[in-house]
Amino acid sequence: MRRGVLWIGIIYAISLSALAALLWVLGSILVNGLPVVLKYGAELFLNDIPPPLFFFGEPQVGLAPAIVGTLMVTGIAFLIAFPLGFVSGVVIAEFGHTRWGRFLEDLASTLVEVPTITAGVAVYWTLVVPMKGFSALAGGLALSLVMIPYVALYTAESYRKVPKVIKEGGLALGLKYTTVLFKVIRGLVLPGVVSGALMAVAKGAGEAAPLLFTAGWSDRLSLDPFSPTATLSVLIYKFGFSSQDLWLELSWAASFILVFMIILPLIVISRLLVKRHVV
Amino acid sequence: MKIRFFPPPRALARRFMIKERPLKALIVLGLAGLLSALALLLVPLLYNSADFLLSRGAELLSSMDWSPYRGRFGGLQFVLGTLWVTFWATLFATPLAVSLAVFAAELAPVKLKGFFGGLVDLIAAVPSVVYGYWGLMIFGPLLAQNLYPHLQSLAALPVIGTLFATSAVSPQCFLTAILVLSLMVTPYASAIIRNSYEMIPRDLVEAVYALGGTRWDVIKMNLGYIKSSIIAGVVIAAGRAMGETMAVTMLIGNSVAPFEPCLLCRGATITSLVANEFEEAMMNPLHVKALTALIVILIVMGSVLLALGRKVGRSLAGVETVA
Repeated sequence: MRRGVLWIGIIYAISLSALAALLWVLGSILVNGLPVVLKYGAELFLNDIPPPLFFFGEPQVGLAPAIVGTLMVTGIAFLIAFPLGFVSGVVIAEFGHTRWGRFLEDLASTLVEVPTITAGVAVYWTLVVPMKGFSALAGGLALSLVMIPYVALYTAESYRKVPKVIKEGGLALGLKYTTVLFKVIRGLVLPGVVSGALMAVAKGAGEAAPLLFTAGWSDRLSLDPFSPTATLSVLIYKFGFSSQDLWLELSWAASFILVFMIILPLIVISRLLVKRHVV
Repeated sequence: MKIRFFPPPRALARRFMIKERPLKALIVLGLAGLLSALALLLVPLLYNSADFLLSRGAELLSSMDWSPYRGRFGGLQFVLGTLWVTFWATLFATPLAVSLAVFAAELAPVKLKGFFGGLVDLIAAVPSVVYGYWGLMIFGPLLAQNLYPHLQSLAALPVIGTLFATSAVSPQCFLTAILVLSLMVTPYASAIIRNSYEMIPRDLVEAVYALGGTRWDVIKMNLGYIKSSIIAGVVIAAGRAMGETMAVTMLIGNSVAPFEPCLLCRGATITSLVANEFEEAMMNPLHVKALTALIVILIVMGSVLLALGRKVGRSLAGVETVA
């Protein structure tokens, strides 16, 4: 036997078992979540979340408040995070050779590592305590803190990929640097920036820790950003510990909707955008 | 007529770049974006925990008696629990991450390389809370039925016995959290290792083959070559494991009892304690401040870890350039 075949076999075995574990997780969401989604169908997307015990007739089963809550909180977070993160990302890419640019890059890659629950506790003190209550706005702010460094790093990556020659061409024509950055190479960086933004949204949509004590909880559908709202991720956590079969089923359904209907499509779209960009 | 030459580059820069107002504004805005995020994270935490840390910080870090309703805030077991979970999760994640990186960069069929890379990234895309729910419903019960009773019987062994000493086997314990966590943090390390693995000069690889080396020799040489990136990746994974919240909270068992170096016991980490108790703590000002103080301690621990990792990585990188 040739040297090292055993070791290569071990590498194969470990890698494939890690991928098998991933497929196991995704598969069990599919197997347990999809039937629930199919059973309740459109009801799930329209009705309020059922209360714990039902004394009066048939329960109305739904996840609408959590689905709308996730979309709303993530949307608010994106509106805050994108402008800030985008500008920081451009500076990181264009002025990476200067002191401030390097500082920003270090800062962004450190902020990415900060535990996400930190954002929840910090925003609890800045918004929830003064406003005397949970709100979708507080949840959005907490989530935006998680998303900003991601947006910055993805934006920087896409700006770095633009060949220097194109920028220099624009500058040589006497255009302003900002015109070059935001108009001339817009078409080149746009797919990368959008794809990075989608990845940041996908990261944010699955977060529960920053939302536990900022967005709070609500059984009812509400579109008011100043009132508390449920989200899919918090629902999975809350209902996951319950002893009621219906709530456990709803947790599976929420996992399915979150992973297969929100996060995976975002990732696939983001990948396709970048692929087209490369070709 | 006097002929004027082009001004030297620096004068050019002074003329065109710095006068350009929007550009300056851009840099200021970029700084403001990230700095405001940093400030929004740190200032409220420090401001609201400073008095607690100053008055009772010693108790928080020395005692293991946590009973908020009696005013006792000894949080050492959560700090130790965090370190315990981080240590084991990193230990398990390291071979996983190195194997996945080597597999995706070297061993996978060329056409499938991108696909496997994507699958590894997908591990990081699944939300933490979903891993937690999967562990709670499927993985944990499976382990508790098939694996943990066997491990428990090892408790009689002299030294490693304490790891498995527990009175009752439970699906929610340190080991369940650690195993799920090690899968979750693997892609972060793997991405870094794979990135530098793919940047190894082709000449080196060809030299090994030319000397009659096997594929395994090449892999060994390559892994030695990128030692500093492996350390960097492992530190990043450890940092993620330290701050991971939802999956740990759902799987660790949430016991505030004093810490024991045991894998099958229920326990808690700083993050799991905060996620679990924060909502009820809002009624008790001291309790909520104690939790905020623990979060500050967590941030300090994470920063120390990252700084150490950078130092080790840099010293190894120095050795590599010398060698």
